[in-house]
Amino acid sequence: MQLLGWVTAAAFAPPKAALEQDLVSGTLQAALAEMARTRGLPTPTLPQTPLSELQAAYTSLFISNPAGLPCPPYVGMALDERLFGEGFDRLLELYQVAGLETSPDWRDLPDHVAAVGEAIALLEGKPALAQSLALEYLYPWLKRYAPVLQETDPTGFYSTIAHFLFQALEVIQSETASSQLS
Amino acid sequence: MKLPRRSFLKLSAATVGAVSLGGAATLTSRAKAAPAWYTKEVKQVFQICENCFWRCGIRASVVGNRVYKVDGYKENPKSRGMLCPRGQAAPAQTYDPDRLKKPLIRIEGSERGAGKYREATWEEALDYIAKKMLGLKEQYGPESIAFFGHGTGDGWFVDFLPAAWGSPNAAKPSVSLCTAPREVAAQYTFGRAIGGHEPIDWPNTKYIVLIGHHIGEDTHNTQLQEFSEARKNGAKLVVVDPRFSTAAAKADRWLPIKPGTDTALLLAWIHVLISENLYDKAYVEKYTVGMDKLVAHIKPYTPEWAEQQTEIPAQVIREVAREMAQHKPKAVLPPTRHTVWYGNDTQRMRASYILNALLGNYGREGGFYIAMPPYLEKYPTPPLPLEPAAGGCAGPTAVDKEPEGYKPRADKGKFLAKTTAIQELIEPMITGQPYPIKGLFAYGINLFHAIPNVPRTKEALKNLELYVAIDVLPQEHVMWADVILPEATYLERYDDFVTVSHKTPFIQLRVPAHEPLYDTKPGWWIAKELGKRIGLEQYFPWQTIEEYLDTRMQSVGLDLETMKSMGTMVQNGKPWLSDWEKEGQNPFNTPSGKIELYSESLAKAGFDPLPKYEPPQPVPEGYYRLLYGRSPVHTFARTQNNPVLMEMESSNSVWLNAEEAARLGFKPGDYAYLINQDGVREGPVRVKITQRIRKDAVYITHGFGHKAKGMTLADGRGASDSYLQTRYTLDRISGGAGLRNNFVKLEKAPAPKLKSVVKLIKERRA
Repeated sequence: MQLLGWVTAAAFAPPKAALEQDLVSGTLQAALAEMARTRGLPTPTLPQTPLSELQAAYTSLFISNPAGLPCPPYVGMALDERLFGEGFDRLLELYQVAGLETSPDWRDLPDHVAAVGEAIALLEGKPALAQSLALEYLYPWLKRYAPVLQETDPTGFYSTIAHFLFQALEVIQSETASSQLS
Repeated sequence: MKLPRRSFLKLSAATVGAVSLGGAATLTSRAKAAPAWYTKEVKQVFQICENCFWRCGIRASVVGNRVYKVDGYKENPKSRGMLCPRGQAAPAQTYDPDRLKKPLIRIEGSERGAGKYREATWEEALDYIAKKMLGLKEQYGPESIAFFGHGTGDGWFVDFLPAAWGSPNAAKPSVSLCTAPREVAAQYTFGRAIGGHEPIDWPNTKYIVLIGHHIGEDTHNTQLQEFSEARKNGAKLVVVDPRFSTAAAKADRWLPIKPGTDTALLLAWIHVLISENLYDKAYVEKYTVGMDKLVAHIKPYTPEWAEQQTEIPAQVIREVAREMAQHKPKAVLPPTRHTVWYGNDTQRMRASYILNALLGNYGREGGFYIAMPPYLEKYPTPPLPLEPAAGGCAGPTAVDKEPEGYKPRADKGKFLAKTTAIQELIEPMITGQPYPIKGLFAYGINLFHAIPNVPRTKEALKNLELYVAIDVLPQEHVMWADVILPEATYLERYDDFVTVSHKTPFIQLRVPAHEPLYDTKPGWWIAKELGKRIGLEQYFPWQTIEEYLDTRMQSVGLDLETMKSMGTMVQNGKPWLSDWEKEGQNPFNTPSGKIELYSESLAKAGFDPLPKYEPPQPVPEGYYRLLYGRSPVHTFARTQNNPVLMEMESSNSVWLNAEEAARLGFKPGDYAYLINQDGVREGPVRVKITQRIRKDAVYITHGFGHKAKGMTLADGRGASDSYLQTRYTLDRISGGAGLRNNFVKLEKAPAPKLKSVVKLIKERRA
């Protein structure tokens, strides 16, 4: 679960030098391979996209787009169809109880999908809590927006990762359901 | 496998590790109802509403990073404890998912208008702008950058920054696209501004004549409250309008005037007052000059002549003039705000003011009170190289002569007034005449829904070397900018004090209710940080905005902390002529020191010293004159993405006279395209078939017809009057752009295939 969280945080944070380094060094690709192996999924191949193109794509997909923003990067938009809804409030309470708060230099909302990813990763010692975050907050966002990214991502980078994370969470959800039944 | 941390979140050591799995399960239960906001610790701060330009003082109720409610407060002379729907709905803008969230830089090589951007840090974005500005200054001079703005924060970008930078090309739409004729006419007649809070003593008036006034449709809070008081106190109401407006529906008389003939009616009323000896002789004798010339001038303008022009019966014209006289000085013709109609608008407003003067109502109860600005010192800075030239609702500010080494405004010489005309600064961006304008800042103004001739504006934007948009929403023109700077909304920021000229002058304070969401910044911060980078640091000597505000407040014997507990500081005014006379002072700042019925200054400048009537441009065969106005629940083109207001009114409709509708075959529920004289098409827009408008005109409310897909509620709803205003007639005195010389025909259209706004909003809330 921790790796899933880090991959989410790395991929959906504003693309800067850190992501470029992850891509150039192959760390992100390796992380996907590791997750794929663990979850019994085929390993996706990330496209080789220059950072400048990722930045342009990220802006048009997640920040601002004159043709309409296809993928608001906030889990609350998938949960409540709006910002600052009940899902957002529940997430904040969960963060509070988990001892998490946003850093002062994080100039975005706490339900940004990258922040949720990082929260999942940080709750390494609390697997049930991490799993709740992943299944109840991240998964609905991926379920709604992974197909949209398939249609709108000009680079293939975001759509590949979103689709893979969605598949991974489907497996986790299925495993969780099975273990509860048994 | 480890990836490096991104550090968006941090762990609080006190609580982490204390979480039980059981607790987590409870917390994530969807069944748990969140406690109501008002059961939590609610903070209240004084704020100023920004959902229209009346700027009511409000109190915001805040929990954490969320404003849940705003209310007017009694101590504030704007809201007086009450708030309109727009004010109540305004907080929704702060939490609009479509907001601009981060600074953006247009991707190099991409076409302007294609909307391709990358996220940038504030430092990177401001450095980029500064480098470009300094380059333009070096190559073309400081005047090559124009500054347009609208809103409470515009002072930093349209007044202060350009004056410090050395560009006289700073403009607001609220001048030449709105109030310029009435303000310039007031200066030439009374030697005083009208100002943003129209100085009418509504509660004491007994007879009101509204000409093309939007009261009840523009929802200026206090004005509506006082208008209601006037009616409650028994004031008679006459409404002159080609349309049976909201105000007309309350009136004792509706005069459905032929569009563009208002000056003829005003001149005829002056004629009756003079020819029947009904004017206030003592007042005219004491306070005015030029009566003898007016008497000679007005002779031909009989009611019978006016009937031919206006299509209002001469007998009615006479009756209304006599009724006005019966109620003088408590009879008043209040100036409306949007006065740029047909291009001869300053003279129309002069005629209106002359009529008011004959009624003896200026500076007297039941008429115009004399508004005074509150006393408040500026923050001490080195002298700015230029005087701010944009003007505003308070009238002209700029000087006649430029200081040594600085160029005059690019629109200078096209008209008489000292203020800048925003629409006249577009041409130099295209032609380079009289000199090139190569850079543009657009702060809070919607370029495509304010300035006429949108194709020309788009061509101008393409020619620029630097275009910076500072805004809150991804409006169409914003997505053309080279750099987009996302401003914090009004609830998230301090602004400079709002000072209001009034019967009791007052100062209002805006205090942020919470930290700005996302990576947004207040306008003052943007101006200061940019100033540092373009060599203007000396003009921003203050370290924090609190220090700036506190220093200004000290000049009136208070401090910021005290003001934060008050919200509004009210001072004493001198509303009546008798107040001035007691002190041996004269309020009329005209060359003669009196109300100038005849204006020697206009004569010297080559204009008619007394208003003359010019017939309007005729309506072409097959067309209707396009009239436009306001919706009570929207402000210009600023509020059409607000879910609360869109739930109340999600589109405009085109008013069409019932007989014309029958002739054209329109039925209730039909839609139409509006096509103007230059072939520009807008719509589809629903046709409102009504007896409430004359047969020679159609009417739509302004602000709809957005073409910005990034604004999910606003996009594609209704028709835009601005896009249909491809022509305007320049008022050679005020610089105002007369917008009512545009004409449209109607063509049947299919109903638009849009998801209903109510459905969209319900889906969001499902």
